[in-house]
Amino acid sequence: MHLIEWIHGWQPLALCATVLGGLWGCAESAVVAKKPQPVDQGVIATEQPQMQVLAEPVLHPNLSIAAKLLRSGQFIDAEIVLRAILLEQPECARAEFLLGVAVMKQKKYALARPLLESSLARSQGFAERSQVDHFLGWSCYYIGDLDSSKRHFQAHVGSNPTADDSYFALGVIAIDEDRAGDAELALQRAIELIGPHPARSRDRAKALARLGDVAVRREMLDEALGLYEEAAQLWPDHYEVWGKLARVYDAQGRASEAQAARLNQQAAMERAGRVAPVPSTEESGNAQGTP
Amino acid sequence: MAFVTASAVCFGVTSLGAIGSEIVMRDVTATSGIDFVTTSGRDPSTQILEVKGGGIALLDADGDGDLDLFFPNGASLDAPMRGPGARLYENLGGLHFRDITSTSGIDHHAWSFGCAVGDYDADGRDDIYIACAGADRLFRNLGGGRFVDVTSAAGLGNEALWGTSAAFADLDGDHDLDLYVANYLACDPAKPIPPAHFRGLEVINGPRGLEAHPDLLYENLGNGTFANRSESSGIRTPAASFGLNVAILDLSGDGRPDIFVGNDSRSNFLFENQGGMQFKEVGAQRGVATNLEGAEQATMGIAVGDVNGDGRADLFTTNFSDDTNTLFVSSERGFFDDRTAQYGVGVPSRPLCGWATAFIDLDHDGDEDLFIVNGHVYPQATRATLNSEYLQPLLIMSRQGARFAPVADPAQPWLSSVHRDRSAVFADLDHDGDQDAVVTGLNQSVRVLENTHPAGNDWVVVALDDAEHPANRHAIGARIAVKSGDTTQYRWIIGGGPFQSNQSFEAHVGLGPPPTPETQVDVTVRWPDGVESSSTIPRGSRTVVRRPTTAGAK
Repeated sequence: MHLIEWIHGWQPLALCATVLGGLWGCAESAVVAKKPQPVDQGVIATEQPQMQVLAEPVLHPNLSIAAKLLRSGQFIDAEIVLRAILLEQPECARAEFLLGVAVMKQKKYALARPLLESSLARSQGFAERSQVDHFLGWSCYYIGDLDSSKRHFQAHVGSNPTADDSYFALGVIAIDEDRAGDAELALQRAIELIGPHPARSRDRAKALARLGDVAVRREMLDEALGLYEEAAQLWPDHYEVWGKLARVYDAQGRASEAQAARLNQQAAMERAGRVAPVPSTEESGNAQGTP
Repeated sequence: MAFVTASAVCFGVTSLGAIGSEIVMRDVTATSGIDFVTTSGRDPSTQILEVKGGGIALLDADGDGDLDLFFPNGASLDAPMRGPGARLYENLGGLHFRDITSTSGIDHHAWSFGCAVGDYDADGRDDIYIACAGADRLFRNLGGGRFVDVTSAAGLGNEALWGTSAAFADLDGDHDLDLYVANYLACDPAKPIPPAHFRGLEVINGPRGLEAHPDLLYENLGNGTFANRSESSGIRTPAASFGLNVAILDLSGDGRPDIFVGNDSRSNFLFENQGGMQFKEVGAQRGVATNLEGAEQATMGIAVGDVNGDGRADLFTTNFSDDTNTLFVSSERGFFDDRTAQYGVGVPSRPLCGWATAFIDLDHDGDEDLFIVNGHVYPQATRATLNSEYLQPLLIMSRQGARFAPVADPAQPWLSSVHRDRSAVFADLDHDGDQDAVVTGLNQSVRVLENTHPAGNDWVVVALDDAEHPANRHAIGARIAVKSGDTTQYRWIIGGGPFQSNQSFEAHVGLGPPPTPETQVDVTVRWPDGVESSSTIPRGSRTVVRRPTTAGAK
C-alpha cells in the first residue's frame, strides 16, 4: 500500500508524495528552516514566520520502530512505543509528533492536538517538522476549531506551496464558512497540484466532489452533476460522491438516475465494508450513533 | 398575561421599551418549585435503556390558560415497572410551579421516555400519551388537573415495544387526532446486553447490531378509541429502524401532514401522506434520509423553522459527537438541501452529542436562534478518548445575518454549566412575552431557564383555536404567518418536536424594533384543512386566533 493511503486514509485527501517523502524518511537530519514561499492564492495562503531550528536532540532508537508500526497501520502499538519513548525523553519533539499522528489515526483529535502543538513549540529539528501544521490543521478541524485549523493550513501552504491536501483542507473550511469563492480557488489549486496521474485519482475525485458541493451551494446543479460524475468515474468506490449524485438527481426530479446512484453508493459502501451487519457484540462499530 | 382573542381588546400590550439584541437567560430552578431529579437507571449508565432519558409534556393540564409540565420519568433495570413515577407540575405563574401529581390521578411508574399531547377525545382538554419501555399509556384529562388511565379503553397499549417519542396529528383529514409512535429497539432490562467496543473503549452496546422495533400508527376512530394502522398505512414498508423522534407537519406542500421520523444510526424516514391514511416513505428522494455526504446519522432532536423566510418548513436535526448537526432546507422543488455548512450550524456541534432542539427567537431580533441541549451517552467519554466530554454545555446558536454563530458569555453560567441533558421544552411559561426553557437529563435535576429579555412590544404569541373542529382545537398542522413591516415570519403547529417532548402549541414570534409607527402585525393562518384566515393583532400581545367558520373564511 502506498504510504499516502495508510497515513491519510481517514482524511479527505492525501498529502502529496513529496511531503510524505520527508515525513517518513529514516534520515533524522535537522530541518533547514525554509524561507516562506510566496503563494499565488493570496486569499488563503499566509506566510509562516521563519523558524529558528535548534540543535537536534539525540534520537531514541525506538523511534524508527514506532515509525514502522505507524507505516504498518498498528497505531495502538505505535502509541505504546511512543509513550514509552516519551517517558525516557519527555522533550523529544519528534516522538510527540509521531504520537500525535498515532492518536489521530485513532480519531482522537483532541488528544492529538496538544501533542502536535507541543512538538511544534519545542523548536527542535526533526524530519517532519514542516508538516506539523498540516496535521494540526486536521486535528483542529475535527474538533470543531475552524479558526485554528485554517491558521495551521495557511501556515502549511505558506511553507509547502505544493501541499495539495492543505489546499483541499482550506477549500473544505471555506465551504464550512460559506465562502464559496475562496473554496473554489483552494479546491482548484488542490486539483491542479494533484494533477492527472492515475495514482492520485482518489485525491482528485475527493477534490472534485467538494467542488461539486460548491456548485450545489450556488444552485448550479448541472455543474455539480458534472463534477460529481467525474469524481465517481475517477474513483467508483467513493460512496459519498454517489450519495451526492443521488441527491442532485433527486433535487432535479430524476428519480431513476437517483436510484441508480443510490445503488452504486450502496455497492461502494459494501466494497468499503461500511454497511455489513455487525452481529457480534464484541465487534467494534456497533456502538450508538457511530458516525 | 392571559390570552385574548384577535377580535377583542388585547390586554397586556406593553409600552414601547428597549429591545434587547442579546440573549440573556438565567437558571431559576431554585425558586421554581421544581425540585425533581429524574430517574434513568443507574449512574453511570451501562445499558442503552438507561441513556435516552425522559421527555417533557407541555400542556394546559388544569384548563387555566397557562402551560403546565408533565415528566413521564424513568425507572431502573431491576424494577423497570416500578420507578419513582411520573410527575405533574401546575404552573402557578411567574415561573413558579407546584407538584400536583398526588391529586392528578396519574400513578404511573413504568419506565417512560417520550410523551405526546393532544385532545384525543375532543372534550376540550389536553390528554397525555406516554411512550414506554413496554406498553404505552394514555391518560385522559378529566379537567382541573385530574387524569385517568384510559389505555385499554382506547384500544392502546397492546404492543410491548420500546417507545421513544410520539406525536398526535390529524393524519387522515377527518379532524380528529391520530397518533404516531416512534419505537427504538428490543431490550430486556433483565438481560443486560454485553458491552461493545468503540475506539478502544468498552462502551454501552447499541443500537447497531440490536433488533429494531417497528413504529406504530394509530387511527383515531372518533369514538374514544384507536385502531392500529401500522401495517395497512405503509409506515412499515421500510424495515424497522431505531426510531428516536418524530415531527408531524406538511413538508410536501400538499396540505396533508407528513411524518418525519429521526432514526438512530440509520436513514431517517419521511412518510409522505398520500391521503386516506396511506403513507409512502420518501426520505431519500426528498433529501432528509441522510446528510449531504450520504451518511446515516443518529438523529435525536428535531426543530422546525424557516431559515430563509420562504414560507416552507426547514428541518434541523441534532446528532452524535464527531458528526455534525444537520440543517435540511426545503426548496421549491420539494427537495431538502443539506445546508449545514452554508448556515454555519455544523462545525460547532462536532464535540457535542445533541438532543432536544428548537428554533426560538431568544432575543426578539426578528429571526430564530437555535437552542440545543447536549450530553454524551458514554460515561467514559472524554476529550482524550472520544473528542467529547460526558457532561456538556448547551449550544445556543444565534442567528447573525445569513448564518448562525454559537453564543458564549462567561457572565451567564446557565450557558457554560455542563450536564447530560436530553429533553427540553420551550414556551412563554411566565407570560412575559419571551420563551423560557425547561430541560431534563439523566438522573439530574430538572432545570428551569428564564428568558430575561427586556419587556417591550417586540414579540407576539399566537395560539390557535379551531372551534369548528374541536378534536384538533390547537390546529396541529397549521402554518402561521406573522407580517411586521416588510418581513413575514412563519411558524408551524406540529405534532412531536424537540426530543421525546412536544413543541408548544403557542407560536412565539420575535419582531425586532417596530417599523414606526407600527403597533400591530398581520397574522395569516393556514388551518390544517387548508382554509386561510387573516387578522391583525397588537405587538407585544398574547392572542388566541380563532378559526372563522368555513363560510366566513377567505
